[in-house]
Amino acid sequence: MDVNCEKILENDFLCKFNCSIKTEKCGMFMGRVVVTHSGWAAIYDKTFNFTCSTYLILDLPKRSYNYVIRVGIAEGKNFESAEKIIFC
Amino acid sequence: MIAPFLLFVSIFVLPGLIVYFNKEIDLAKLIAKAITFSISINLFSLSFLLYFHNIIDLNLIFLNTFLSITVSLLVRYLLRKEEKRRKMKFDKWFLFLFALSFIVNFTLFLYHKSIIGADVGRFGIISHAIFLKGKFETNLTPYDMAEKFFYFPSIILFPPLFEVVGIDPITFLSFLTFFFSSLYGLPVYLIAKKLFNEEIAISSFLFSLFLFNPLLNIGFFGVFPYAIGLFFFLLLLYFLLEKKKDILILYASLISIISFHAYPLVLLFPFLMSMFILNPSTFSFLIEAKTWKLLPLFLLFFFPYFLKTNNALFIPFQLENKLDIFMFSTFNRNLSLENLMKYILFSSPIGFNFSAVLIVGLLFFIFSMIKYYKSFNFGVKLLSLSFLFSFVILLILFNDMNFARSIWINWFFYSIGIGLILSDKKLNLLILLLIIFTRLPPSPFSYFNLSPTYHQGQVPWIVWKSFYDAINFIKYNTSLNSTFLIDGGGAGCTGASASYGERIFPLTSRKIFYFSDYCWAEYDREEYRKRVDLYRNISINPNNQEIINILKREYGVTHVFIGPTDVGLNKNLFNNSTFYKLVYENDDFRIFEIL
Repeated sequence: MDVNCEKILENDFLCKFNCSIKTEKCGMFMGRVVVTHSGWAAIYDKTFNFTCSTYLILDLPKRSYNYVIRVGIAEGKNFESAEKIIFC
Repeated sequence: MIAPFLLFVSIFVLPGLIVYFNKEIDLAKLIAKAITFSISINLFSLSFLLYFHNIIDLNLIFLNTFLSITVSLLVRYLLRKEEKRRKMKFDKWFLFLFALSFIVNFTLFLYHKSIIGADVGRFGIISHAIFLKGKFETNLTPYDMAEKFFYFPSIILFPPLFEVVGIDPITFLSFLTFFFSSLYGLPVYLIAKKLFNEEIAISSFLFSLFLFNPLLNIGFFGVFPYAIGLFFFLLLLYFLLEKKKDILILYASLISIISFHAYPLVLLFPFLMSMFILNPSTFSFLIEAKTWKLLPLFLLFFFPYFLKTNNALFIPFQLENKLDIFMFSTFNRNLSLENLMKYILFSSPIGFNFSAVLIVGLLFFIFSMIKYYKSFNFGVKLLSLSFLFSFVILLILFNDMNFARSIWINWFFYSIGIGLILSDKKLNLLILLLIIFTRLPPSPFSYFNLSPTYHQGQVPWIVWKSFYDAINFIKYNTSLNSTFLIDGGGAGCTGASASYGERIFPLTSRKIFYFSDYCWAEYDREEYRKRVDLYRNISINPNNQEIINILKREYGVTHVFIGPTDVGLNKNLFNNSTFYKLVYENDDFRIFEIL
């Protein structure tokens, strides 16, 4: 799977990202998106029903800092995951 | 200070000493057996008492001590064979290095006062919640989000006892880590003595304690239950190598491993396979001793604890938790083979930091295996084969973040490898001085190098004195009903507050606004996600009145706690807001009251 985020807005308080998540197989999967700061602590955590191509809008605090977006889906016993660093 | 000391001795040393004192004449073996037996017998007595008695107070401590000593006396009576007191054997160098290890670790404990990382805060929360409830139960609400949980028993059962005698769980668990770190070389010494000789055992002891101490590395950075488990893992390995018919100590070491953490056990396979290949009848002593007869006794040790926690045993296997661990291991799975090998052979178990000392360790290990192939055939073959098998297993295990820490096993091989080559005691004394002087990681002396500097957006590498100053302010200047919004929360089956704010609860009994995401706890996931959203929104805009109202009215949040490595919560934004009043400030920490 693949995750890509494009910054669509930035002001003194936040960055707004448009993220696209593409899975290798198509279908409806249980999936989760987590954005962490400091490697371990969550600042965004949501569960979705993914299709083969899913888009989501993310608002993150502006800190001049590298966040990590992690995406994972589960299809039965098979898992897929991807991660990307996003700067705000 | 006398009560905690007596309690520590009665839990961790005394029962085993009663059983083995006259039987065991080798000091190293006596210490190893005493501690191993003490852990298992106390685990049994405490979980048994908590199942029926169910009150955590001084009476429980008294009953536990009475029961564990009674059981020990009974075991001693059943095992009695040679009652004549014989002279204890020990090497002067062994005693010197052992004492030095205690001094270094105890000094480190006094110097840092606390281990770092998030886990000690997390277990501090559990311990303090149980202590405040006055009984052991897996529902930690309203102090924590966990509605039920399962974790290994020693970490859950022992800390509340020390709270009864006035020791907070952060201090107790930190002390426990440094205590076991100072003992780490003991099983390495015993194994090297068994496979080679006293001289090589002493040098391996030195290098395991002061150059390659994985227990301190893993434990100091927070993963202390696993770290203590690996100490008992090496002891189990030694007792298996001894092939004595003292099956009780085999079971006791197995119980001790699992009582802290079960993951070290996966590394038993390389050694068992190697032992079996070298001598297929190697485990016949287990059959001759009718080991299986003690299996019901083994199960009995965990039974009361499992009865209390059985409804939470399978939480880690829930789909969302499995997915969480999988996502968290994405980096590990995407490594090239070259990088994978570098991480496995030359990096530290926690943080995966590279060290030149580990390259030297591998070179010495390979060289020693070639050099001593003829003179110590069995020992060399066993270590070489085990190293190769464990390397293959590590290539597979590294894919999983939780098992990647198993790479510590290489440090065991390296310490014996260097011990085999550098066995001259006087030369080693000079090398020890060099180790102390250079303080190169992963030597325990390198932990004196940690300074209170920090990088924005990272969990701190030290607990500052200023943190305890802020804690004292909370203790003496805020109401017991206060609730603190802290920086950070859980993700990836764990959680880490960049300000160490999760320690506020175990140290002051004030509640925190936190969100835990542990793969071994059941909690309201919708509530968890709601809290993450509230935290994100207040981080973006501390003036968001709607969010402030929810925090105040629904969660009773009265204060905001921000540390030097603020990541979500920005202290400048809170400072400039009219919704908050700065009530405490030092060089690193700020506490705001919500108006």
